[in-house]
Amino acid sequence: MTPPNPTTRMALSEAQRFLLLSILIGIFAGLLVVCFHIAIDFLSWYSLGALSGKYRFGRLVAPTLGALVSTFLATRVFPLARGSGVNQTKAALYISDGLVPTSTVAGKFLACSIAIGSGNSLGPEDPSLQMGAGVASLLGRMFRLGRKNMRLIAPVGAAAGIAAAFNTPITGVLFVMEEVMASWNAAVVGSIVLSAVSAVVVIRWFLGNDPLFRVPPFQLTHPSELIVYALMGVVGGLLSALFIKLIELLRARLEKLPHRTELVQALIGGFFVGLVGLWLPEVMGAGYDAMDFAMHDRFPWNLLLLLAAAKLLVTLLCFSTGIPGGMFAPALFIGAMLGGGLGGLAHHFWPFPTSSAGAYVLVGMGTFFSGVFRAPMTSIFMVFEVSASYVIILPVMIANTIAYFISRRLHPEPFFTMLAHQEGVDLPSAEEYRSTEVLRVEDAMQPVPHEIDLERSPRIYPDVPLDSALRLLGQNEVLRVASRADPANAIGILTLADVHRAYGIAENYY
Amino acid sequence: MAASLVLLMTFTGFLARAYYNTRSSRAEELYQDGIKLAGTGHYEQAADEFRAALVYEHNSETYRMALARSLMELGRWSEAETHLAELREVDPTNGQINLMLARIAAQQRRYDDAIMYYQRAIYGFWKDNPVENRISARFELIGILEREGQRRQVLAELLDLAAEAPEEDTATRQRIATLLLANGSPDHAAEVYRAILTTNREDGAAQKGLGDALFATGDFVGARNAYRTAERDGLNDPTIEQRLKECDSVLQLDPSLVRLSANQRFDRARDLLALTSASAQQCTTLPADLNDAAQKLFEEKPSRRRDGDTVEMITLAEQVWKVRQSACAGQAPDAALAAVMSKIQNQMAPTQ
Repeated sequence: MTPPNPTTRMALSEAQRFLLLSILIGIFAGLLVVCFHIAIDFLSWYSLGALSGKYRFGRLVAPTLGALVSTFLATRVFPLARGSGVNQTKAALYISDGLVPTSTVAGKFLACSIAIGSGNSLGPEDPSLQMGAGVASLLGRMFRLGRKNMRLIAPVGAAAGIAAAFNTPITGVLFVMEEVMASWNAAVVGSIVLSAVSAVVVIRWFLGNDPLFRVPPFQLTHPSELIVYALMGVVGGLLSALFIKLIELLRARLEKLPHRTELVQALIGGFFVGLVGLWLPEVMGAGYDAMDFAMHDRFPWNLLLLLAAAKLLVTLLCFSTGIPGGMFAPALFIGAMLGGGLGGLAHHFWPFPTSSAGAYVLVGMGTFFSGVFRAPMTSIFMVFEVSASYVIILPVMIANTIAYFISRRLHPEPFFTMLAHQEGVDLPSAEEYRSTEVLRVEDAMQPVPHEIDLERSPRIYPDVPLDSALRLLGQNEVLRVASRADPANAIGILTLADVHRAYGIAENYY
Repeated sequence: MAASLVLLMTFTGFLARAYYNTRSSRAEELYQDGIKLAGTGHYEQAADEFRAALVYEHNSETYRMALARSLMELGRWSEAETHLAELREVDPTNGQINLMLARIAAQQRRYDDAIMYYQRAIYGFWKDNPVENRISARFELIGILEREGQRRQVLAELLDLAAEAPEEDTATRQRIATLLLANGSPDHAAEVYRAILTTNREDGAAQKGLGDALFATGDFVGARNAYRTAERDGLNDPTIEQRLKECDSVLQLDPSLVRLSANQRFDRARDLLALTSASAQQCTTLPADLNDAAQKLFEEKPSRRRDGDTVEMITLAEQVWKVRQSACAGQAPDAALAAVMSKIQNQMAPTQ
């Protein structure tokens, strides 16, 4: 018997290499996000001061110049870095076999740090996600992963990037599973979790354990507050649908302008941010400080509503004019201010006792996010993870779910899908998966009428797809539906009309 | 791979260190500027500096506290309160934070909140001078309680203060005793003055205070002795002479003094009844039954003096005094007469 070759014994299988690589991806992505975060802060300090009264002029100039330089970099120097990080990661997963060009990492880093650091109303999370995906793609190529694993590596990096950006590992994992993967792929969950956790460990190692917000203790003062939270969900849903629609319209209009106007558009976008920032400096940059202030009841309710409206406007302009940066932080900001404003209103006018506006800021944060990105699970767990309060779950679930359904109803196309379509790409989304689920017999069957004789009708089970049932219905008018546990007894019937109804086909269609 | 990882980690480490250094030095610079501005009374600009410092160092309690102080100086109570509330979330037992919140609540006439915060400040944690700060906070609380008319609570706080105040802190003890006296607890005030005098027998102010306290308890002899000692100790207080005269007048009038013969006691009781009747008749007409009873007692011959008559006259004098008190609220009575009647009323109170 020949002894095992030590080299063979040490050689790792592809699955093991993939797991090991996930940790490495997390570490590299975490380091990159630390540098990105520091770059944004440094730029912000030197261009805007600390947004105090002394530096008012800087507030006008910095975002204007920042928008110009960053858009120049994104359009002329790193053209591959343009567009949504989520969609590019999806494209790597579904189209380009995991390839995310390395230049996009450098491009996103430079362009977005300048744009956000100079005060433009955009967030660092989407770029972080894409940088994570880029790093993962690079490492995957270096490790010579197979085609199947190469495709899965980009979401692993994306999870690390977004987890590091939010400093919340669960949110990172959930967002990638919900929005990028659009499904719960058991093969990759472990790797995504490993990379997200590694990235957050790195972030905390270098930037400390401070959470994204100093969250005040949350409590439900009166059960009737749940109605206020539901109303908040309604308003959040309406506003998020409006926001997607406005972006869709404005982007479509600006796309039609000559290519050479790109930089002018960005310049105007940046200037507008500066102009608003002269009076409302809170809307500049990602806006996490302002969200933190709002959570601690630093702003009156009317200012909170004004901030929500101003942020919506400046973000709309920044994003539509092509200034590079993400939408997560602005979405959280708008939701937070909207929630706080409505909470403050309720505090004054609601007939029952309510919590302070700070509690509503926290819950509101997720509503707009849920409505715009159609990632209800991520939005719920993000607020839960940020607040570390179990009590908050119920209001957050109510508000976010309502916002999600209303936004979905009013603007069926999710934000990232809309962007992809505008860019001429068709990428799958969890939203579409949900609406194109296979219909089964149980979705269409009707109760058994008393007068009907089902002796001669063929039997069919409730879990059979309707398409299969259609074949039988071609030869029979009625099918007898029976459970697999008790096939002798009918639990329902199925006719062609029932199938048509389930597919949403009108009865007089023919 | 390993080399690039180490390289990136090292670079990130250096970058993070530079980041933290820049952040804290910028914040400190702004904070120091703010301190200078606040020192010259430019609180508006100082608040701007502190706010900017906080953008760099969110979690700095020092900067936030400085900002809250400036805002309080500017009268922006609500804004200051939100900052202090944030600080309190992190450190709920901090005495300084609770004291500032109490002052804001008092300023906004939210007295219940103010009392709650003062209590937390008193029993909270103080980094520097805990005893002095707690005493100072308790005095502020007493002021609020006095304003709210919660006299029993004031006395409770004063007694706690008397127990906590350091023996050597004569000024604080003097202040406590004065407040005890002003809030109707002369016995406790006298105790505190005696405690001060135990430490320093020649404290003229404490002697005078003791005299006032004893006078209020009805111990006129003790009060006279204390005033005399204060005078002897060289206390330059023009009221002492007046107080001594009052003591003498009271001691000549008081029928309840020990070591008086039955005749002396009878004579004093009759004088007292006569004085109270005269005092009452200056502003009102006595009820017929009281007037008749008084006349009857005045007409008693000295040979028929009985102890029962003495007691009856004192009781009648007290009844006349009550009529006077309700009818002549605006007219100040003779100080000596008032003191004797107060003493008699206090002595009679438990038996009623």
